[in-house]
Amino acid sequence: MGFGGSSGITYWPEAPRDFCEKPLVRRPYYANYRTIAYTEPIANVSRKEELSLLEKKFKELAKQWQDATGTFALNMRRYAHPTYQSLMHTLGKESVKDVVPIILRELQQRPDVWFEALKVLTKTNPAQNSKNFDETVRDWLDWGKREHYIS
Amino acid sequence: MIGENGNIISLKMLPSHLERGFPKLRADGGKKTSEATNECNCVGWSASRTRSKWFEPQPTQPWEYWPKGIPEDYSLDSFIRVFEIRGYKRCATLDSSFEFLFKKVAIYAEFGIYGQPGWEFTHVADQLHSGAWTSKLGKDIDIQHNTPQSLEGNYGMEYGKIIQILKRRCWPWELIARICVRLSKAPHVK
Repeated sequence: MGFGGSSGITYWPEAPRDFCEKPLVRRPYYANYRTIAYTEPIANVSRKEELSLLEKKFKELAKQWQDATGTFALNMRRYAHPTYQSLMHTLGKESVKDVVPIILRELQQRPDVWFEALKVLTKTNPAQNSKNFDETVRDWLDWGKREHYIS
Repeated sequence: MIGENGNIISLKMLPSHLERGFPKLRADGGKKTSEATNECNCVGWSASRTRSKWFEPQPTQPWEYWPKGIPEDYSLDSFIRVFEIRGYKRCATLDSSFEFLFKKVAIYAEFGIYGQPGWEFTHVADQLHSGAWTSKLGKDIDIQHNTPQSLEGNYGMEYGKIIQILKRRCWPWELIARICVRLSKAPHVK
């Protein structure tokens, strides 16, 4: 090993060749080669972790939405709120089977008018004959259990 | 305290999130009168005194309700019509003072909340036989307050401004109830 060579590419003498991702013509400081060699591996986030992050984000936004619109007189005005729109936008990018359990769990913990979102996502309405809010929540949760979305 | 239908109502302190959202409410004697419920909104509460109807111009759930014959367009006028078909007449002024022979409701509106120019309905409160006002705050609790002005404003959860006062003559039994409230000299009577 030395300066110059048959390939015409120059390496710093003490830096092992396999540390370099690509041939470098010039490496000004010897101390720097380690920082280049030990690059962080790209984070390998599993699908499970992704869903857990999505649920966390959903819960945060849902709480924000409920705090901001809880005293609104009309559901239409609640649905028109930017936080709800942002929530729907976020969920719309995910697959139905991932998103529905998140909404159903939220409905279980903090009941609110998630029925329209559920109807649109699942294209079904198990609560079409319910007589009041509580019954609608119960019908959706029963449906979620039957369809194995929640336990 | 005895409510309009003879039922006992306990007046409780306002929850902190409502004190923050309606900063004038506490000074105006704002008190919680029931637990939060998703079953009814302010329109159902003030128009029908019901806890089981959520008035929504375009109902999406079986328990949501909108009176037949009133446009489902969410316009301010449609909400005023809900009260007009119940015998209320529009007042020329925004006088919300207590009139012994009349029951009043106050309609609140905010300008351009849906991104279009125009006053949009935000809330309605109605006057009790004692002269105090009652409001169901969306899906939250219902409250009692001394004047409808304490919910006005553009800070936090406030409902904009009172845009219309409507009133109707009291029914005979309502007059009897008002006399009883006066005679009882309850501390909440102004």
